[in-house]
Amino acid sequence: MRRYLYLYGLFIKNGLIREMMFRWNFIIRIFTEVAWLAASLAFWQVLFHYTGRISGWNKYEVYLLVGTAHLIHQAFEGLFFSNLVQIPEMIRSGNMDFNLTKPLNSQFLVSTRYIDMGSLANVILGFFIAGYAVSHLHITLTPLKIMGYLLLSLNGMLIYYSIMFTLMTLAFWIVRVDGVIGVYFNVINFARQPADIYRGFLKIFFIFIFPMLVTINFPVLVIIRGLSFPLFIWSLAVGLFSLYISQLFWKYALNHYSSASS
Amino acid sequence: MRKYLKVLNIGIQTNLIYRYNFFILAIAQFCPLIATLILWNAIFQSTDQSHIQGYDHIKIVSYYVLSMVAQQIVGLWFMDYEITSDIRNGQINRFLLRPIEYIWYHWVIILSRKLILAITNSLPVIIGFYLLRDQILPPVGLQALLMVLLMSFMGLFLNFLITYCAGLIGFWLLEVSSLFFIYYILNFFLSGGMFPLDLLPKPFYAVVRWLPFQYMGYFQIKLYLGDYSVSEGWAGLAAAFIWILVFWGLSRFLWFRGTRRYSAFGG
Amino acid sequence: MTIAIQVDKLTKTFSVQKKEPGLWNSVKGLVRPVYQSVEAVKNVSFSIEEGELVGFLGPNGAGKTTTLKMLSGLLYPDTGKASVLGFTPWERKENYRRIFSLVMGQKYQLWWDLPAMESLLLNKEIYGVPDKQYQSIISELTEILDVKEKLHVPVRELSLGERMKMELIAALLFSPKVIFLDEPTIGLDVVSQKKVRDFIRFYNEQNKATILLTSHYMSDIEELCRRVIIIDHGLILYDGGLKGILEKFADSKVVTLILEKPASEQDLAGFGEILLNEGEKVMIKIKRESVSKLSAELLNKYSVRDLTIEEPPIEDVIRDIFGNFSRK
Repeated sequence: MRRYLYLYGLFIKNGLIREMMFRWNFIIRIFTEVAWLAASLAFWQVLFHYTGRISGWNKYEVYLLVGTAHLIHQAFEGLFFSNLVQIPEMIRSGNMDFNLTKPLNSQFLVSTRYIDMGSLANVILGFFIAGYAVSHLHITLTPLKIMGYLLLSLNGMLIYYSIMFTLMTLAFWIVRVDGVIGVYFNVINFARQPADIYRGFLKIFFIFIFPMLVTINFPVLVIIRGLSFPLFIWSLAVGLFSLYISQLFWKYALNHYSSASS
Repeated sequence: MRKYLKVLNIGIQTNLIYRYNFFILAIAQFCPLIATLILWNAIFQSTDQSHIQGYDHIKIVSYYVLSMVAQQIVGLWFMDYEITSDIRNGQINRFLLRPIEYIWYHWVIILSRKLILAITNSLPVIIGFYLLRDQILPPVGLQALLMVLLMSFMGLFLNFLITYCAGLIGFWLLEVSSLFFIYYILNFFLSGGMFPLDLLPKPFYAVVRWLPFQYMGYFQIKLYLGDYSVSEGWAGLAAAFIWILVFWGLSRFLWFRGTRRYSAFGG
Repeated sequence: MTIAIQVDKLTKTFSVQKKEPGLWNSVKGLVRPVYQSVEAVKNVSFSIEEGELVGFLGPNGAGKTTTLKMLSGLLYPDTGKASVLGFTPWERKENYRRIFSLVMGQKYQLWWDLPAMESLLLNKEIYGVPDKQYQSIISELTEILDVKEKLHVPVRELSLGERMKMELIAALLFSPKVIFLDEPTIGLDVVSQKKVRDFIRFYNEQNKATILLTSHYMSDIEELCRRVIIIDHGLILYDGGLKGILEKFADSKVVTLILEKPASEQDLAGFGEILLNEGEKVMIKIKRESVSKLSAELLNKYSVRDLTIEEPPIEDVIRDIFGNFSRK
């Protein structure tokens, strides 16, 4: 365990060195995300120009959702995304072999090596938007609420990680997976909207069958409405289960790789 | 002309191999549309008005469906990446040496992609529009529809020129890939991909109408829906044509300066 | 001597999708792919003692890399057994991964954007090398390979040779007991090739590491390995000393004559294949079994200033073996 922590420290250090080498890229990346954030805030601003509430959510509640989505996505992109999208290329070029011969958990190594500081800087921006929204909401924040919010945000990020990691593991069978990345980015759109616009079966579907509301909406609900204890536990179960599946699938893929690849 | 036909042929072949990818992506692209429509449904239920700035429910649905079709026609993802990577790894030398124009090479590649897209997607789109004829408004008239098609072609070419210019920035800056994303976001927003531009507050809308981006979606949709008349269409056509000239000139200028700089540095 | 690597009847078959050119065929392949099985390694057995440096020789696709990958635990064999220092490689035990190293030419584990130093530090942590040992190994290896000043240069700015040297250091800094080197000198210039080669020899002698080396370059094998395993089409053709290759496969020797005066080509051709005829200097390829008889005749027939009998260049012999074999 200590070895893994120490290694992670080195990854962070290397990430910093890289960002300092490519300063411009770092700055432009921050701006890209800011542009995206601005566009989505503008979108909601325009909509709330014509209506006071959408399915019971007021403007600042939605802003809290936007900020939370931003920080979860950016944390995921900063910590994992750039590693995961490299998996197909690593398999194709054969450099994956180096990861597999190291005396370490291979999933850890392929998931964490590169840390993108530009995205991590954006996490702060996400917190800032979330904080701004909360300050307009007349809500008393208790430490318990904040802890619940942070825990479920982390949980949401791990669900995204598990989905993406599982999708990228497909590269052991499929040559081109860029279509799959596109699928991911399209599908997560469901998660970015207020939970209450989904009604009836659709809501049940997005909570229990394809739990997209668990990732971003549930942490927000903890703050603005409160989340029932069973749903809280359900969220954590989804997170742990998806992580477990991703691990299982990785092992299965490695077995396939060692028996079939050349 | 023959050489461009050959490029077209190869373009179609490679695209066919990856049509699998096309297929999954095409299905996935419905997700944001569905998500947005669910949201608008909730908005109409949350207000007591049946119209928002002249849009009723069916018109909004039509707008977003048409917007998705427009993005398929006009959208050019990753062409700018291809150009900058050509510049960076010296592939561009092939075009400096051979009697084939770089810009037309790319245009032909784009056309081959769009042709494939047209072949595979036209029928499903037409059938879809027919089946959903109660949920999606039909084009306001035949003349308007022809105008929409003509303007879509103009929009594609305009986007092509702008994206091409963006790619040529690679002659000066090495790490521009993230810049393109800013352009995508800007383009998506200002072409009305997120919401109808006339929902914007008046002063913003006035500015946006002077930009070239509205010709990559918004303008065509408004023609289709009949909010713009055919004669307004001609005016838009003229404006789009001026923008095409502007970016055509810019692309020539960037190419000229860029290749000179490139050969001066020895590639 | 103890045995480090024991390989027993390893067999590995791949099934490969058959691809034919053309648009129609690629569409057909989508619908009904046709698979073809390729036997990459057939019934291969050998054993290597601790501290041995063995060359693994064969043309492209002979099964060398497949064998190395099985020994690294990256591939499962279909049948057969292998044991490396008591471990079965494909169980991929962490303790096994700690004691061997795999180096592949043209594939890189170093971080492209960062100075090599950072990647080395990373490997230090991954393998848990103590600080003191790390310091002394790095300073020693960079000294020998002459890349000390390059440690702080981003890897992408290094030359091919320098990069390979760094790769070697990264692969060896935890003092692995077994090293698999797959084409470590491929694509390098002659000077770097020699440097890398000298280094491998030095490392083997000093650390008593067991090394299995594959290479295209005969000079690598000739200079480094006392023992060679030749493999082609998945079969072991030969396993033994370098000299033995000649005895086994070279059916002729090269006789070089320095003559007092030029002799007629026709007469000389009676002895064997003429490799060179420069008037005074003549080289003839003569069948092994008749070398002594024919040399005596040559000495009789011509006034010879000097006569030497040599083995043919090993590279030619090997080329002959593979040539013969593939033609069968």
